[in-house]
Amino acid sequence: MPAKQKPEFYDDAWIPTQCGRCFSNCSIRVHRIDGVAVRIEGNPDSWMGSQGGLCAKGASGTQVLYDPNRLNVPLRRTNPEKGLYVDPKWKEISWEEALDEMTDKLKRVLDDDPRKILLQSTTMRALTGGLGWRRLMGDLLGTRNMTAGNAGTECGNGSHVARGLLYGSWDIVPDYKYCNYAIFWGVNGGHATGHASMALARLAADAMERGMKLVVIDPVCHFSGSKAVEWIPILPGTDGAVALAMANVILNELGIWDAIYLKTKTNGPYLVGPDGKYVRDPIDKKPLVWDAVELKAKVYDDASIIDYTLEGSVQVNGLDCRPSFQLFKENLKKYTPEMASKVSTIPAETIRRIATEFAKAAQIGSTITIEGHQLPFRPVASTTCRGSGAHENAVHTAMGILLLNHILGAADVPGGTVGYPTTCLGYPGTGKLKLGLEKGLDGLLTVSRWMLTHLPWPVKDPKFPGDAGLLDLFPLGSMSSIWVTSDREEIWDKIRLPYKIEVMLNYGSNSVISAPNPEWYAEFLKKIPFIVSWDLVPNEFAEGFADLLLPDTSYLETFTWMEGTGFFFNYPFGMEPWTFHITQPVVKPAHERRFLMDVTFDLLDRLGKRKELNEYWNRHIGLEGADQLEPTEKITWEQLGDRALKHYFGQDHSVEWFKKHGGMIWPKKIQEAYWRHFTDARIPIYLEFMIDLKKKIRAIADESGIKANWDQYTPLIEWFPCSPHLVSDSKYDLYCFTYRDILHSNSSTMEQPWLDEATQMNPYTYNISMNFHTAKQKGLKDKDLIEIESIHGHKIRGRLKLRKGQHPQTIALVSAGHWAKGQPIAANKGANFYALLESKFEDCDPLAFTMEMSVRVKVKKVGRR
Amino acid sequence: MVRWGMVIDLKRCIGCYSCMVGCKQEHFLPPNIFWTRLLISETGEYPQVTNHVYPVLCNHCKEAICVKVCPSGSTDQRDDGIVNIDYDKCVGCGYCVVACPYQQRTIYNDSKTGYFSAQGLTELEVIGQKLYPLKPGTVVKCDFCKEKIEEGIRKGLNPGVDREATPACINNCPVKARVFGNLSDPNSKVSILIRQRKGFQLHPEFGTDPSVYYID
Repeated sequence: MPAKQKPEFYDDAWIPTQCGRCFSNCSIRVHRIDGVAVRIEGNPDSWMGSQGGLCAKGASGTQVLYDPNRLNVPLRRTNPEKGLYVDPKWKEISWEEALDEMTDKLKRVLDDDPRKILLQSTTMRALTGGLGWRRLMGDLLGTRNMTAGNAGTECGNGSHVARGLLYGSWDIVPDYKYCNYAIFWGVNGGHATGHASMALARLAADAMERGMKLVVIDPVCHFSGSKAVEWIPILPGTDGAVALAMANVILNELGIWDAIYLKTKTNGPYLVGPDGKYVRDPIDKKPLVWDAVELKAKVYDDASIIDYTLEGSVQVNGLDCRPSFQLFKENLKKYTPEMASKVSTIPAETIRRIATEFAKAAQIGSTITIEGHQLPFRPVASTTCRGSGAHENAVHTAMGILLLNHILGAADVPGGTVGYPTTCLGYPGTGKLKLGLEKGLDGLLTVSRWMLTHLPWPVKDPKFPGDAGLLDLFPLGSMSSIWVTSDREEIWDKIRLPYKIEVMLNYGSNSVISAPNPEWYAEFLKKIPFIVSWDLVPNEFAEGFADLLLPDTSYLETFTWMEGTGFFFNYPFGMEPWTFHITQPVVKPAHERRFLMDVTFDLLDRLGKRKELNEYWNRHIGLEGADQLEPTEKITWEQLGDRALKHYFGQDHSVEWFKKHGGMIWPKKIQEAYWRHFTDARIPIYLEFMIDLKKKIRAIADESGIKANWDQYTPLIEWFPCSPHLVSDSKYDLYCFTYRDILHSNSSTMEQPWLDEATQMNPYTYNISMNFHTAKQKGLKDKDLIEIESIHGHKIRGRLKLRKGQHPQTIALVSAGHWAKGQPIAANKGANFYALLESKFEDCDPLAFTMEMSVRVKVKKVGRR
Repeated sequence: MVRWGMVIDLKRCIGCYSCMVGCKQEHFLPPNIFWTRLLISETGEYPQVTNHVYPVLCNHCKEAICVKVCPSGSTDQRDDGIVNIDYDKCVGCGYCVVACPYQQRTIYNDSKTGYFSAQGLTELEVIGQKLYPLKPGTVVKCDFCKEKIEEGIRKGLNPGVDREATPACINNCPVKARVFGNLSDPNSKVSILIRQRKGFQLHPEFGTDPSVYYID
C-alpha cells in the first residue's frame, strides 16, 4: 500500500490454516486486517504444498469467503416443482425450523427403512466430509447408499482399485527426487492435477531441471504435455493396450525384468493349475511356489526357500502348473506393438522405443544408500489417474499401466512410483497414528486403513444387493454410478430393491452440473421427497432440487482437524517430513452460517444418537481408558478435535497449540518412506481371485438378470475396447472427452472472479478444442460457434479453438456451463460436457463401475461468436 | 546503486496463473486490471508441437518510453530502477498506455463497480480500496510491490531473498519460476541466472533495456 497512507489497524494477524479449494489441503497463512481476511499465502515452512507458493485457486480463496451470493441463513424451497432450471422460490427460515424438520423426516425414515437415505458429499473436503461425515452418517443412520457426486462415477475410480491392490495407497506419483524417466498416461501430475497439485508442481519442476525425462501419453498436449520431452497423442480408452504392448516388449522381446522383486514381492512365483487358480497346500491352503534349488513345491512363505521359479511349467500332484509370471508373460504376447498401434494410433516403432528406454532407465540391480540403508534404485515411473481410467476398462487399464513399474521393481523404492504415505511408525512422542501394510490373505498386502467402506484386499464375498448401488454384489467397487445410469430403474426392478430413496443429504456436491445425461438424473432427484443440501452458494443442485438449503462455513471460517490426516491420500511422500496441519477459522462465521459437523452433532443429538456418536469417535480416533468419551457427553466438534489432537500428539498439543502453530511436522523414517523394502508382503500381477469372484457374482447376478462385461473378471490383465471404440456409424467421427484444468477444481471454482478472468483470458479453458487439420477439413475456424452431437442424440454448443497439439480424432473441453442464479459469474460460460453422455449401468466398468467418459460425436458450425 | 530486476524461468513455468491471481490478490485489483498476465501460444506441427507460456509484466525499463512521453511527469524511473507512477500527478491522458511497446499499462476508471455489479462492493473490495487505493482516471501497472520492498529494507530484510520484502508474484509461484533481486550485484541470484542461463529480454530491438529477463 502507498507509503503515505497507512491506516491504523486494530487487528493485523497471520493465521496458519489449510487451503480448501481442492483436496490437496496445502498449508497456508492468511492475513487478517481489521477482521477481514485480505490475503492468502502458501506456508514456506511446510512440505504440504509448494513451500510458499499457492495456486490460483488458493490465491482467490478470499473471493469465496466474501462472495455476495453466499448463503447466510437456512432456506426452504417453497416451489413444489423441482427441475433443472426451476426457481425454488426460497424462503428464509431459522435453524430451529430447519433442524426440526430434518429431525422429523429422519426419525420417520429411520423407523421405516434407513436404506432410504442417500448420502452425498463433495470431494473438496474429502477427509472431513467424505471419510468423516459421510462414513459417520452412514454408520449411525444405517445406510450404505452413498455417492460422491460425479467423482464416484468417473474420477480415479478404477485406478483406486488398482492402486489399492498394488500399493496400498489412494494415489501414486513418481518419486520426483530421484526419478529419471516418467511416463504420464492421461494425467497431469505436477502440472494441473487436483491431487497434491502444488506439492507435485514444486517437485516436478526440480526434477525436470535435474534432467528427469518426461513422456506424456495423452490425447491433448496440455499442461504436462507442454513440459514433456515427448508428447505422444493417443486415442482415448486405448492406454491399456499400449501399456500391455510395452510390457510385452520389455518381457518378451528384451527379456528384461526385476527377478528378485517379482520373486519376493509379487505373486509371480505362485503356481497356477489348469483351472487358472493357485495350487494350494492341502492342509493350510497357502499358495504353493516351486523352489528353484530343491526343485519341489513349497508354500510361498516357507523360510527354507532360497530361490523361486518364475518361468516354465512344473508338475504338482500330477497337474501341469505354471508360475503366474509365466502366464502373465505369455498372455502379453498377443499385445504386439502393431496390435496396440492399430487401436491407439501410436506408431508401433514409438511403443517399442519408449518401452526400451523405460526398461533400460530402470537400472535393474542398482542400489542407492539413503540414511545408511541400501535400497533398490529404480528411477522410472509409469503413472496414471483419471484420464486413462475414466472408461469402461478402468481397472484393467490402471493395472496394465502400473504393472509396468512392478515388472521393473520400481514400486515404493527410491526413484520409482511411490504411494502417498501409507506406513507410519507413529508420532514419536506418543506412538499414535500408527498405520501400515502387512501380509494378508495369500500373502498379499493388506492395508490397515482405507478411504472408503471396504479395504482393497481381501475382496469381500459378493451378496445379493441390499444397497441401491449394488456394491454388495460388486465388492471391488467403492462408488456406484447407478444414480446417473440410463437403466437404473430396470436394474432396481431386477434386484427387486424393496425401497426407494426418500431422503438425500448432500454435503457440498453439485452433482447436477457433472451428471451424465442431466435430464435423466433430474428425474431421479425429482422423485426424492426430501433433499437437504449444505453449501456455500445456491448452485444448480440446490436451486433445482433441494428442499432445505443450509449455509455452510467456507474453509476460512471452519475448524477441522480431519483435513490434516492425509495418510495414503495427500501427505508429503518419499523422505519429505510428516505434516499434520489443522484448518481453523480466520474469521468468525458471518450471519448464521454453521459448519457441517456442528449441525450434524446437533442433529444426531436430536435423533437420540449421542451415545452411538461418541462410541464412533472413540473407535475412529482410538481413544482409550479415561480419554474415552462418556456415552452421553455432549462434546462439541471443536472439543472433540482437542481430544483427538491430544491423543495423537500428547497433552501439550491441544487445539490451542495447533491454532497457534498451525501444525505438527516430524521427520519421516526410511522404513516409512520406502516401506516395501522392509515389509514382507506381495502384490498380485495375476488376479487369481477373479475366478471365484466371477462365479460367485454371476450366481447371484444371472438369477436376477443383471448383466455386466463379465469378460473383465479375468485373472490376466487385458485390454477391452469401450463403447466409443465400437461405434460403427462413421458420421460420429470424433471422440469427445473432458479434462481437468489447473485453474479449476471441476467446476466449483468458476464463480470466483479472479479465476473467471484468468479463464476467459486462457485460449482453451472455456472453449472447445479440436485438431487444427481436422477442423480445416471440416471448414471450421477459430471462434466458430459449433454444435456437438453425441451418438445418444444429446447436443451442446460452444466456441471452437483450434490446436495442433491434439489428436486429430478428438474434440475436448473443460466442462462448465453453469446456470444457477446463485452463481452469476460462472453462469452461461463454457459448455456442459456431461450433457453429451448416456451410459447404462451394465456397460460400466464391471469391476469398479466407472462410467465411460468419452463419447463419439459429430460436429457442425452453427454460427460465429 | 541497486537496480531491482526479475528473471522468469520459462522452463519451470507451468502456466498455472498463480502469479497473475496472486498479484490481483496482493493489490486487490479490480475487474479488467492485470499487472501481470500469461501469453499463451503454440508452435510446430502435429505431433511435434511446443506450447509456449510467457508471463509478462511491466518491464521497468531502464530506457522507459512511458517516462519519455509522460506530459505530467507522473511517471518516472526511481534510482532503484522501479518505474513509478505518482497517482496525484497523473492526468490520465493515456499517452503512456499507447506508447508502452509491451502493452503493460491500463487506465483505471471505475472504483464504484466491483465484480458483482448487482450487489455493490464486497467487504474485501472495500478494505482493498483502503489498503491499496487506486485513483480513478489514472494509469496503473505493476510497481514491483514497492511497498513490500521499502518496508522490507526498513526492517533490514533482503528483497528477493526474504519473503516479506519480495514481490507477491515471486512468492506465489509454486514452481519458483520467478526470481527477484539486484541486477547491479553480480552475485545476486538474478545476475547469476542471467549469466549462466543466457537470460534474454523481450523485444531488445525496442531499445528499452528491461529489468525483466527470461531464461529457457
